[in-house]
Amino acid sequence: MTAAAHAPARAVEARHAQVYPPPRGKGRADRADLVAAFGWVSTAFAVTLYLADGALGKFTSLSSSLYALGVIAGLVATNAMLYMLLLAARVPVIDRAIGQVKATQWHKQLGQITVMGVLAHVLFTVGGLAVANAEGLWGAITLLWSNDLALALAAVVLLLVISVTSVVAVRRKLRYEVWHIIHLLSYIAVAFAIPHMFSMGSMMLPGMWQRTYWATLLLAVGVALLAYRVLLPLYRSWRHDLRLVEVHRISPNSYHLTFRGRHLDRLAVEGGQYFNWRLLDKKLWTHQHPFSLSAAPHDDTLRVTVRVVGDGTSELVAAKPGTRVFIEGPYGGFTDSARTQEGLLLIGAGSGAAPIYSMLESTTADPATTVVVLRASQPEDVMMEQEFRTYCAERGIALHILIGPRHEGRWVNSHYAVHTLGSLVGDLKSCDVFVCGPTGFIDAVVAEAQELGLPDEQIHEERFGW
Amino acid sequence: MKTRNTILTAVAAAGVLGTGYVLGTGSGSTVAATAPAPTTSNPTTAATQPSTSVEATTDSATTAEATQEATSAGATGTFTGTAASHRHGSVTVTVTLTDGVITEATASYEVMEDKSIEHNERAIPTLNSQVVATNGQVSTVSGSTYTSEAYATSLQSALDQA
Repeated sequence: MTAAAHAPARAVEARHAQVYPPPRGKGRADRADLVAAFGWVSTAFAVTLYLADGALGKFTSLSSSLYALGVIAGLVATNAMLYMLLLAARVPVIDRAIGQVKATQWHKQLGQITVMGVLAHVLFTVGGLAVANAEGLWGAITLLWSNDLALALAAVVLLLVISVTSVVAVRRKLRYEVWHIIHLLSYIAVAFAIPHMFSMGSMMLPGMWQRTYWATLLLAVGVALLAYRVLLPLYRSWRHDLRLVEVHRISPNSYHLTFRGRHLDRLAVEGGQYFNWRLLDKKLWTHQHPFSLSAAPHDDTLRVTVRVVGDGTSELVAAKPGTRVFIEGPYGGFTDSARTQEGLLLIGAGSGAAPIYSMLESTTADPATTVVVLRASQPEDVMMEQEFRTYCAERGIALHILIGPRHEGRWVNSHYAVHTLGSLVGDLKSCDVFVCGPTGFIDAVVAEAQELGLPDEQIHEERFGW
Repeated sequence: MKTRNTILTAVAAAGVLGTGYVLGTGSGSTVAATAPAPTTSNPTTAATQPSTSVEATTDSATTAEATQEATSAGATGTFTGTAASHRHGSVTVTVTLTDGVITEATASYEVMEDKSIEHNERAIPTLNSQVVATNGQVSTVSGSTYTSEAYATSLQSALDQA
């Protein structure tokens, strides 16, 4: 081969180096919609099974109509509950398709449907029987009384306790651990509710194929929960053997926590995702913290950045290197693979900078069309400022650091109120916006993005809090 | 959700519900046909399920369906008793007699609550075979007292017609 033959090949190579892989998130919105659609259609199917069983023939009198309505309410509630449990199983395919924000939002809505459905179920079935019974309400209750019913009523009581403690106003008054344990009672509530479905439900009598259908669904969801919430985290924690290797103070109140493990290249994790971390020492093993990665995973290490805000976090940063850690995750869809456009706007406030940074390190977007915006009230509150400055300067990525109090009703600071998302990037329409930070900040950014005509599939958020 | 996906979801859900409706009204009409007319003191039912052995023509409101032959030795024919109601529903017994001997007994029932279906499914076959074996004697099936008593009442009214 001659030198001349090499030259064009090198030129092609050089041009290739400038080509950035296309965004991979085009189909994600459809996948999320598919998950939602599955919820609606499965609800319709639950009702359809009852209709096919001749439910309409039961609307002949007041009592039988009430009873049939009660059965329908119970079926809808059961379906919503199963769907909620399926989301709670955090099956990776579903989790990545819908992301953390939708998952939380849907969980709340499904919870409300379940509670309302269960209450309607109790009201209508008992009411229907009471109307027909000579002894009224008392007669209906004696009629229904059996062990399974007592269990089912216990489930209703548990469900009410759980829903009351989940109302925002009440939840704020509780410690996370207390609330969490109460919330875990929902598994017991479900277990209590199952027997009466099969012993008292007219459409679940032995030999009827509806019985098989519901038993299969319950079993499948139970297996998914066991596999993805218990076995998989145990397996991953054991296999990757993650240990805390370094606690590094980066500002008066922020610390990098670095964990090292083995075979981390085999863990399908991307920058921008988060884990639930549980440090296994005497004091800390009862506390679990959700932290986003603050650096792209590399060389068998994972890093998070913790801002010390309370007792829990100050104990965490005082943990001894070498401490084993139990992980659940990776979770969330705040990743480069969710990107739908060539352009990229990363925008973070406070500790929201952490997932922004790991996302930035992981992205394959062209630096020329990538913009990073960080917002803080005080200069010292800009988390990882130096790292951002170095990384962006080396690659020629535009970095805006906005400091000062927030402008009324906006996400920007007062001094920068002339700026909008549109003025900070060249062409917002061909951008994905990734935003992370406190709720009010995210809401303001999302509202502005929508106002500027950005479709929902180009807006990605990651929220803190529980 | 995207508009297109919302529409697709709505169509799919409606399709599923429609299928249930079509299937349900098919079997629902048979349920309505076998549902007894409310001539008894129990005007309402929450669930209606004919027992497995009952004939499709059973009508609990009628007093007798006589295909009776006038023979001197004893009555021959099929007789349906009145629906006897009890606390949890009602029972309607149909017996076939040959020369005054009960050769077959069947019964349909209605219940006010699903739980009772189990009781009836268990008790009625036992009572049927009891009646044939003893030529009309009914003893209470334990755990299903109401059903047994109503069965006896309805059986008596059927035999009265013979």
